[in-house]
Amino acid sequence: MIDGFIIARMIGDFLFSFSTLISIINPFAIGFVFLERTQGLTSRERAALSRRIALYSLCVLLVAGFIGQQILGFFGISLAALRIAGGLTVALAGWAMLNAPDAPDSTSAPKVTVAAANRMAFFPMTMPLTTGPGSIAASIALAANRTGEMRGLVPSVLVTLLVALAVSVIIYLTYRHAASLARLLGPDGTRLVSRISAFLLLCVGVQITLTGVLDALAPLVSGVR
Amino acid sequence: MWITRRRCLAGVGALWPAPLLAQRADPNPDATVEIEEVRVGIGVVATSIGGGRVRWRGEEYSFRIRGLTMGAIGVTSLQARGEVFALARLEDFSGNYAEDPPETPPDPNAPPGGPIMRFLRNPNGVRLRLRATRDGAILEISPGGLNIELR
Repeated sequence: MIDGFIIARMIGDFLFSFSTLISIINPFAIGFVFLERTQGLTSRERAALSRRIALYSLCVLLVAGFIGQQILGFFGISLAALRIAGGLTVALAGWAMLNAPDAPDSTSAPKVTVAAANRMAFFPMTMPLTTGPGSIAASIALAANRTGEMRGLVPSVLVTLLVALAVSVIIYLTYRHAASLARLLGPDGTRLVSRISAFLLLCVGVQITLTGVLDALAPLVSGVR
Repeated sequence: MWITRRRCLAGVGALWPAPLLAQRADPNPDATVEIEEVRVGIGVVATSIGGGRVRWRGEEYSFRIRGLTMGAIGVTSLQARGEVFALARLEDFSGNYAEDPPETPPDPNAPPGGPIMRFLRNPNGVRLRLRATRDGAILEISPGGLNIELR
């Protein structure tokens, strides 16, 4: 029976899961990465690409939330392995961005064609830059926790759907309007934020890798003790 | 070898953390409770939704709750769990619970950062021990007490 208790639990769980995923994905910072990688696209083309990335992200979050644990189990992949592999990919992307030479102005920045942009919509823009191993691992853990606590399939499924949908909408809006934000900041401000985003991306990648390594080593360390 | 092992066990017993011993000394709870509440608003202009579940003798019963104090601005979500003591009849569970701190003060050597416990008692003598289970939420009881009403 749906009553105040279940509704409050659904709202509380939605808020907790949404804020966790948004802070891990950080679409506001990755929006500048998106902007840098889509130099040369028109506003309309960028909007279409944002929509596509948001849709892919929705799929990734839903798959991770509903059958993520089963998929990892089927291939015998641990969460630690997912974190190490994904963390390294994210760190490499951050490192490449951090060391990329400064473009003197927007006209000399490396341009990308629509076809090339569409090709990179899933990899690397959706995975691992937007919904990377951190958010996938978090989705799996949150969904597993939710199913155990909700005492009902319907509220649990509903919260998983709503969280994925809300996160995808935020991803779409931030990527769609990344250019406006960059205009607001100006060329120097954008360059600064892009570099900081790249450094943060590198740190996030290293952190995900470290967490994975620690997770993998924990049983060995406890065995030695 | 055996003596060494026994000495080791004795040493472990002596080093066993005091809070765990205190928990063991607790009487078995008669029931467990879960409370969930979400509040939206600013200051006194606010609305909240929530309720609770009490698990007693293998059955689960829902109850209404009033008297939780939460954050003053925005959306606040509170999740709390706890144990019920001295609950012989389910009807005794309803009532107004006032703060009833335990006779033994909390262990000063207990590690910091643990959940804040609230000890409450209603006029029927039923005692409630509550703690917030979600990070960030602070479990506060209004001065008028916590009112619980079985549905």
